[in-house]
Amino acid sequence: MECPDVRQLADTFVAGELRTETNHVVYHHLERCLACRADVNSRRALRARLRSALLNAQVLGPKPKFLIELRTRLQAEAQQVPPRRAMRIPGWLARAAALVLDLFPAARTRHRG
Amino acid sequence: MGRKAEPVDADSVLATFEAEAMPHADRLFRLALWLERDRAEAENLVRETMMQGLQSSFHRYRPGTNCRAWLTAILQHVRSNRRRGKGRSPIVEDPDDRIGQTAAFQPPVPQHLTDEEILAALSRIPAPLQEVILLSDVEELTYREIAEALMIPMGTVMSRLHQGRALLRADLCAVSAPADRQRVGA
Repeated sequence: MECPDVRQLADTFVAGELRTETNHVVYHHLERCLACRADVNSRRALRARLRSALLNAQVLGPKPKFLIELRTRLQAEAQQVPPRRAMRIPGWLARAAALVLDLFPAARTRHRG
Repeated sequence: MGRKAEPVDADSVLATFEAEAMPHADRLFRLALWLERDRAEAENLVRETMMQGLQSSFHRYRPGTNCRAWLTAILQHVRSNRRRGKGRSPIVEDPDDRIGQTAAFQPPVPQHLTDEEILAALSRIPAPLQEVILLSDVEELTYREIAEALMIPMGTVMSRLHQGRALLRADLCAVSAPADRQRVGA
């Protein structure tokens, strides 16, 4: 993998979204390429700066009064919500599902692409 | 034959909801305010999100999974419905309009930028690109979670992130260039 390929994948690498094999290839490239390592570090730093800027901006924070009012509303609402039962699976549906699994055991296994 | 479950009482539902969801209220509000640019609207959005989470969706939430992603998805659905209700399109700007402006090579972003400069640069890129950057970089949602929250394909998430980050970096480099020249001149 060459530098332009690594730069193309850098943000996805930083986000931890690369496939394991590709991740290894990028990682090994970064071990020997100072320029790409600096680029990845810069992207990682920007991501962290963005997060901290947004989460620390006082002007964007909720007012304490709003959070108190929200909690009160939720408490009042919870009393009005009828007790909920977990979904009941009809007997015929459970039996049909069991039959399908018996007939097609491969359906038990999830294949990943 | 069907599986029977004990009814869940209101107090225990509320206690679980408060423990799982309320710690995310601050971040959810920041996201809502950033997207809406209006405090009253952000409060309405968060209130409706939390109410909907408690009333109709909490039984579907599995404790231990990513609660912030779950709440963010509800917030995006509520926001989308509200926009539709007001006769506004859920997407206000076509990010493809600025694809051509994303440079192939991006110099590293200078480190001396202030938080205000970073947020100002973010606000200058198209709204749909801001949205995915916020969900990925700030809310730390996975690409799949973002795709589900915004109801768009994963490929669109990735392409918007790529464009958005490139525009953001280019903007930040442009912002810092005059300051750099001043520093050198001083």
